Amino acid sequence: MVVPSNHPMIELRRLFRFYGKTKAVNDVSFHVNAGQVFGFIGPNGAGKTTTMRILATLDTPDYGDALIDGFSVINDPDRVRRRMGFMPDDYGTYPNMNCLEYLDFFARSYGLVGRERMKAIRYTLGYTGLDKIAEKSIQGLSKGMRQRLCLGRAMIHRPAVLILDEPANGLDPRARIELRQMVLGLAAEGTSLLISSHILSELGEMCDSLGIIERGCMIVSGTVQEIQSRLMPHTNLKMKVIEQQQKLVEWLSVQDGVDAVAVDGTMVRCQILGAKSDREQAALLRAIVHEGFDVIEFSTEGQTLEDVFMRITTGAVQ
Amino acid sequence: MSQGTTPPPLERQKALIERFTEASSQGWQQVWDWWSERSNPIVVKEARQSLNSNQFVICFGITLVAVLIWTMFSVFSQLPNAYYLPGGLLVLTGYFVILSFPLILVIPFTAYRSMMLEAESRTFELVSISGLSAKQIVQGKMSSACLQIAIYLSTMLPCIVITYLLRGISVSTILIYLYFMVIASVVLSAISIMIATVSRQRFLQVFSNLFILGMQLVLFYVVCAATIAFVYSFPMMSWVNAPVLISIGTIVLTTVPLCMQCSAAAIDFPSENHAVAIRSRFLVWIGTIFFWCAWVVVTTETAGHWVWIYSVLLAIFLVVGALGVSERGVLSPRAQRALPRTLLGQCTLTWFYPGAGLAYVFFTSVFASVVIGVIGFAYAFPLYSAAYQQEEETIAIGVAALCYFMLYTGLTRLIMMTVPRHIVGRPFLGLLMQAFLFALVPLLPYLVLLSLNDFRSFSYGWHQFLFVTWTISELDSGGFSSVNAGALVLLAALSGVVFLINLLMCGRDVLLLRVEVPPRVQQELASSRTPEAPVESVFD
Repeated sequence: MVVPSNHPMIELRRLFRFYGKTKAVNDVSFHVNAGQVFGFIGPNGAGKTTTMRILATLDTPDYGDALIDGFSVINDPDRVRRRMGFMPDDYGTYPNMNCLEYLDFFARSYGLVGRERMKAIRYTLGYTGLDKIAEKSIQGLSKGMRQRLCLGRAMIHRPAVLILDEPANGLDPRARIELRQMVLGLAAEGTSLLISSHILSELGEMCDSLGIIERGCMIVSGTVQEIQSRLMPHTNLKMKVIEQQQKLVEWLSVQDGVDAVAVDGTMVRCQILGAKSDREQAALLRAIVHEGFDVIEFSTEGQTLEDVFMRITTGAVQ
Repeated sequence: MSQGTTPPPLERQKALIERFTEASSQGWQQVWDWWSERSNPIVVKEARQSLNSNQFVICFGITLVAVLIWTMFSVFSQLPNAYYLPGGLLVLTGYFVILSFPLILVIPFTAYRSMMLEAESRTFELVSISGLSAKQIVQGKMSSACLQIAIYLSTMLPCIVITYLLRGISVSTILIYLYFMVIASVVLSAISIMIATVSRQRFLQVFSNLFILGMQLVLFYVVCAATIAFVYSFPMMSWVNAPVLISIGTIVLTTVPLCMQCSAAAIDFPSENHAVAIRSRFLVWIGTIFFWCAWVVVTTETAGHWVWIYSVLLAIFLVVGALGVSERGVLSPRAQRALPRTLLGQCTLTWFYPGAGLAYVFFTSVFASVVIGVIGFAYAFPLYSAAYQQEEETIAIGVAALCYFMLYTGLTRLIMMTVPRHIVGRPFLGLLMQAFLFALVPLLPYLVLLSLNDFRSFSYGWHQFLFVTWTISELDSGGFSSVNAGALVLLAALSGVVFLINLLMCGRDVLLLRVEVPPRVQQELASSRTPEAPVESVFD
């Protein structure tokens, strides 16, 4: 019986993992609460997979501990495994098996019996969209379908925590969007997710909070906005108005907090001190419209997760 | 098939899912469902995979074709004599040779490859983090091998029964040979799985592949040759040899769980405590072997048997001891939760817990108990048997064997302490170290004396006390002569010192106290004791 608790669903306490002289994970700590999606970002070789493998009880830390729903991955791996589903970046599948048999095997392995197992298989097939190819041999599946199958395997026992290592790797745009919807659906049902990905724009849309890791060290963590405000001192705005560009520049330049304004063709670019929330940006837009400017475009620029990532990481490898 | 009768693909998939996930109402299907619900998931998976795999179809097909060809050849070649002369012997011999192909070669190798493939194709990681414990994984692989044995046997059984009808062979003989064949296959499969689990690193796989293939080919040859020789030599075996059958059966029955426990330990999470289970199974295994050895002594009333029994026991203990003292030696907090609470428990049970030092003391204590038991037996048995002559050599060889174990395994343990814990293949390294010490240490004084003696042979002296085979052979022939006694005293003193050093070194492990179960685990344990409220399925 899985007993829910008040603990963070995922908690890393000063985790260290060395491979010889290489510090794969170097004093990493963070936590993820129930129903949260945590994005784990970092360049290749940063230590994301090692951290995830430790959480999945496939590796052991040299120092520190990691907890899933309050259970230590070192001392209670059996209890952790009941609560956790892991989708590795590189995984194997069995030959001479179809999707249905594959999921049935893992449902049995997670101790699901009788009707409960049948329901779990049906639910998973439906959720992942594999019901259309249930009979198909795994060896004949496309990359996207394999990813779905692996996600299905990881979630067949409805774990409280899902750890997905590069789940969107190699997927086409449609499959990525569908994966994102699946992830958000799982989070809405209360599952905590830890996701690593190189497609940062998608992570920004999916995740409640993020952690950026490089050379084994967690450089920054927090919500997307917290990270942006901490790392980006300015908010860059881009506006397009009908025929009043110069007048808008003059108006903007006397507003509080505006650092710089410039006309760029038909666009007006404006730099405001500090990170402005969506609400603050909406208030500024309202004020501009109120002043009588005909605004046809208003957007932020240069503040994407990619910008933050490029700004904060050096790309150095160990 | 016309288009009208073929359901569209989506409908067909849905129908398949319905059929797969609905409980069946058909009789035989219900039996299958009942069995599969209670079976190890790995057995169900492997049965499904086998039914779809070419490998199984080919092996099974070859066996059937071979049986068919042999039946036709052996029966027709004996016509018309088969009508009035016993002809079962020739036919049965062929069947056993054919049966040994799947049972001795195919099934153990399939079990080995199945375990290896899990690691190679990276499916093992997925299985290991599922709800299956390491023990269940190994049991699943073993059960899968047993299922295959049952399938091949059930195929061959009607043919084997026919040989009885052809006369010239007794039912007991048929059953006894089948019994040997099956237990050989079971124990080989268990050993193959164990080798696969302990050699998952790539650099070890080359050696393990070679070893497995070599072992199975040699055994296949031996079994075929032995079958032909024995069936022709003893076509009418009776149950008078029951103790032999029981002894082999009990030794196999205790070997298989030991191998399976070792396999589970090799693939499990490092913090898991398998030492207690392995050492308990080892006690049962060595106890069984010792019991049957003692049985040989009692029935033959010959004290001379103790020499080879001690030699066998020493060999077993040296190998097992080397593996034991090569453990990583970490008593994890999880293992510490189950440490004995009382002082008596700490004194007697701590030695079952993980740790190289504890393993050393455990194996020494077991060997010492065996030697003490034999010494007690040597004094007590003559009171009941006039034919049994108590020999002092028996005692001397027993003490020497124990001292050699303490010395060489103790030295291996001290050397292994300098090897970093994370090094892969530590048990193999320990085994190599033990073999190295065992082979080279006695050579040093021998070569020194040989050079001092101008490379001429010389007789045994106390200075050769490190030479195991020489010392034991001298003790066997000379008993407690002054030279032998001197060597024995030196050996006992040196091994005692090594034992004491090791005992002091494992003091830290002995002093470790039981740790409390974490509150979160207690919370879950408490909730599992209270009756569960009915909950709605999460999949509804």
